[in-house]
Amino acid sequence: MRRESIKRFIPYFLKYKLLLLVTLIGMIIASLTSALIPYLIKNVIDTLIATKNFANIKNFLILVAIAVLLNIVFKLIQIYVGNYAGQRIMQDIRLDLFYTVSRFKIESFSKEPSGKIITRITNDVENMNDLLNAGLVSLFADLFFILLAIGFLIYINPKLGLIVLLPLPIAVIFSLYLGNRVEKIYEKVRDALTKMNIHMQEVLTGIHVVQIFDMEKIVIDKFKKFSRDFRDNFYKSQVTNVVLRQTVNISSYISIFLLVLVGGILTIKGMGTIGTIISFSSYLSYLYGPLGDLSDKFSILQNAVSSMVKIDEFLKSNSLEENYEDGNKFEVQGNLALKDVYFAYEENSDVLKGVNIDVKKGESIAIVGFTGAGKTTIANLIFGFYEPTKGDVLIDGFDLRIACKSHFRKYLGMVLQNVFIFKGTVLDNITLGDEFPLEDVENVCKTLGIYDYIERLPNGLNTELSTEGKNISLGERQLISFARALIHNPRILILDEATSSIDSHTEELIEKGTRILMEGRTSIIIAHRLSTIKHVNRIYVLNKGRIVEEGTHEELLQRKGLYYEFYKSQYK
Amino acid sequence: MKTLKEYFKREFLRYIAVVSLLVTVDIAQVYLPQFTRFAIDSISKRNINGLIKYAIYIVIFSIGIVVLRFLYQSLLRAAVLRFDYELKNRIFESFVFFKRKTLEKFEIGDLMSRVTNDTQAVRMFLIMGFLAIIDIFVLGLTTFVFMVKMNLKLTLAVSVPLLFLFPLALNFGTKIHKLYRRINMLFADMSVRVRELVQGIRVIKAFVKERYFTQLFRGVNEEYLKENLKLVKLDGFFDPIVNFLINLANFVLIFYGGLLYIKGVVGMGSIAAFFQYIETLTWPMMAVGFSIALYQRATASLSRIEEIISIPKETQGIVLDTVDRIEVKNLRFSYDGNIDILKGINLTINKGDVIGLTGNPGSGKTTLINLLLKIIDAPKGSVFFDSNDINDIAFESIKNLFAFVPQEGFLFSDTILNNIKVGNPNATREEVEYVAKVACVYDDIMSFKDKFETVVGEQGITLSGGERQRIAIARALLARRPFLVLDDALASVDFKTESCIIKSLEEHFLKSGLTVIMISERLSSLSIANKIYVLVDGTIIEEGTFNDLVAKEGYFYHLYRKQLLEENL
Repeated sequence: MRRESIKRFIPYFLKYKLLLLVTLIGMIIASLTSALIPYLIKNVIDTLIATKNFANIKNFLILVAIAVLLNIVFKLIQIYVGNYAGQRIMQDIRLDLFYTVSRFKIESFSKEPSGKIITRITNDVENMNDLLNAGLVSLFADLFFILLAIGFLIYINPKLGLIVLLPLPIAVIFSLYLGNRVEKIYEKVRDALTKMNIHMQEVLTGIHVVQIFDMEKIVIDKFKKFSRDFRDNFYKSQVTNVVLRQTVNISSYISIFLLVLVGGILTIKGMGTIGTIISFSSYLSYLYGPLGDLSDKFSILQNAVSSMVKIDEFLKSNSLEENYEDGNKFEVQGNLALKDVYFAYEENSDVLKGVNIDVKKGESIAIVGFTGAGKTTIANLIFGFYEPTKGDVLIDGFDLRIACKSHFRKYLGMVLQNVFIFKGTVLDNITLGDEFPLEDVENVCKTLGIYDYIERLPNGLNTELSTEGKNISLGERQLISFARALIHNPRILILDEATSSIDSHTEELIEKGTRILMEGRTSIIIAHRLSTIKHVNRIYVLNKGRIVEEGTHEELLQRKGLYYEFYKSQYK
Repeated sequence: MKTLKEYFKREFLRYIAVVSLLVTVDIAQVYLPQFTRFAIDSISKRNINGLIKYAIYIVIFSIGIVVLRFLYQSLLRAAVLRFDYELKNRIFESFVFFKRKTLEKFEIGDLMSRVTNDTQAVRMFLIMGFLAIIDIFVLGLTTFVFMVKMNLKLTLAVSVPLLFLFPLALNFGTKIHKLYRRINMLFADMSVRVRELVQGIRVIKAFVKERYFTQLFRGVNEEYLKENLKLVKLDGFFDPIVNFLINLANFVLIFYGGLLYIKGVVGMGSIAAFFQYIETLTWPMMAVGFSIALYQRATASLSRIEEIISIPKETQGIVLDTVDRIEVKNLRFSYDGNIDILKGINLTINKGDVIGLTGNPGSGKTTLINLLLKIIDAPKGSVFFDSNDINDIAFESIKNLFAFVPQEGFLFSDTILNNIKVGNPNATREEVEYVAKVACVYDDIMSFKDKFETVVGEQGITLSGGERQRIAIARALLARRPFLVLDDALASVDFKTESCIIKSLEEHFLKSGLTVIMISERLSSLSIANKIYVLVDGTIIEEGTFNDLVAKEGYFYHLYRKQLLEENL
């Protein structure tokens, strides 16, 4: 399972194999030189003691200088190149992931919580970055160096080497074990912090309720509880950390004790040198150094691998839209037909039951009905977001199941109740990145009556809108989405009317805008306004998944059916 | 800095203990290399007894160091965390008593970060920064003294590379925080783009804009990459450069130290000790830089914290138990001092009235209510509670007169039962069920699996807007306060439910003298009002009973007709 997940990402790493090779070389040379320096120093010291002649140590000194320089240069190369490669790899993965998700079937977006999708693309890819740098490169470098250092110790003086190394494995085990405990306790700290944040968010958002109903003491006591949990667990994790570091320290002191005592006795007996003792002391500090956060590095590695698995599973459990680039690329005129269409989102709960709708090019129709009757589903089917379970959806007689989606959608236009505004300029939000001549955009705005409003904005069309359009009003957002649809000039327009109350001026513009949008193109309106309905060619009344009535406004009133009841229910 | 001074005063004894232990440990630590030095000198002289003696000293001092260090580290952290706990609580307590005017100056996220991030900065300084300062002096100075005692010239030569550690650490310490902040912001920007993808996916697919959005995403990614590379240069290069400087110092040691050894000025034991002292000095050298950076951050955070806790709580004023009449006389109000939201309002609310308030969006209805509830401050001489100017009445007192149902039907993450009981925590189960029935939500609640024990998600997300509002109404009813204010509280319920609520309000409460103020843009809801005020762009343009207003055939009438035709399609 894990192996498969990792396999998926290998091509991304291979793309930068040259850089990774350079990183590897940097790592090897840096570690080699690090391990070499104490050995060279040993020779300098022993030579000094033996000969007291500076000329004899000159060569060694030169070697040390070279080693020191090589060490810093290649270490910097390892770090910089390694991180650069890592960042590039992550960016590639993130962009591919983003694009792939954008190509998912629409059902994935109702199936998966948005938080999960965001986490996969952002946090999980970020964790993978740690895999490369903190994990593979750093851990490898540490391990490689540790082996080299131990190798040198054994090479220089096997007996002494083994003796001073005795406490090391114990320190490693304690380090891993305690590090693990710190991590577990720290999770409780994070938990308390999260709860604190959620509580604060709630209280601050609903502060008026808190104050009006005298809840101050209750919410304060609740906060104190989380604060206490934070304090107690943080203290525990800190103390455990202190114990961890002191355990490593005591092991290193014991190693030094053994070094001095045993090394001293061996030297006196002629089986060791002072240079050995001094260089061993360097090696020991290098060996014990990384132990402090050994456990951290392992858990970073673990997190990275589990993120890889999560991304892999995420990609496996969602599929791309079919016929996005393949399929029938026909010329769209604007005739639309739903023939005996059945549809269910889940098994055995049909939302549409044999719906027949026929719209000729240039006609406008309205669909009315209670919420949940299936109106939005019809819009979804027309765009090919879903396929009918039975029956056909045809544009100009062509079955949408085999039509090329990226092709025919370009001839369709959508205006939704909840307008989608993204972070970008007003112009971007209207053109969606397409290159329209500025004049055309301005004309569209003038036609809709919003040109003056846009001109009055701080930067006109280049005014930055914040995400979700929070810095403009609901009505203004609606009008921008009208401009968006109008400039793209669709052959078939689907408009899902907004129901929220807006001020009367904007309301007028929206009514007018709706009429302008509908002119000269096939329009399907999911209607809430009487003013819109009165102007369409035909009204379809949808009830519990079936078209129960069909006709013009006057015809339906005369029939005294469901439509008439809608209309009548306003009078008490 | 007041808070810090108080803290040090209180923890004075503990800090004396910590500092004493720390000084002891540092001095012991500085002696260790001396024992190594003497041990090596013993080895040179083939003195096994001397060797054993110094080896034993090493063990004893090591054990002492480890134990004492554990002690003072734990003591220090306990003290700091106690302070942190109190600080967090004080900040939160201040929030809870904020008035609307104060709250609006801040963003919620910013306030929350004062409790989490700002206390963290103070905490980090008090733990690490404090230790670092002591280490710099005791460890650094003592080490230096011992080194000089062995050989001045060698000390100076070896210190040169080590001096570079100071600016390195300072540079690192000051820049790293800003860089992390910037990277976190960019990471958040990336998340925003992904959220946009998810929320706008229908539009993105409908207009075939998958590639365009990926390009937008790429833009943020490039910036993110650039900042991360800056971080690598700062963070990733730090260790290697530190190592390089240590190596350089070691090189100088064997070069110059070797010369001195040959001349017979220093013994090999001293050189061995110097190797260890170089290691010992690295931390104090860096600590200077770090602690400066930590200090800067801590003081900035501390002033942000003190900004909050120094805001005084308002408690003074007259206390009223009941009110027979509220009068608003020529009330003018503006938020920013330029544009008037309310342009001279006159109205009277008598005990037992059912007042309707309506008008166009942005006309000032909610502002008016907030003024009556003293959530925002009214100008003197405009609002009177039984001839008492509202500015003379204590906020507490006003709060207790009103039961308020806001527009958004805010609920806490808790059971429905507890949410209703917020109105009166001492209410019995029967009383809760009773108000739920009056609010016409009892049947809905009983249809849930857990009935009243159903837990409502953050801010009541799992319920529909109408259900939330009705529960908020039940909560307000349970509080049994003299005035009930409904701020467009029936906007999300359908026509049938609305008439149910209005009917049961009429039946059960209006007879007991409850005064109701109802804001609604749906005019049919105001049919039970005995006085309706129509507020348009800050002025009352019409007033009267429902029938009066319809008969006038003015603004009210026309809006009413329009709504009848438009509803329910």
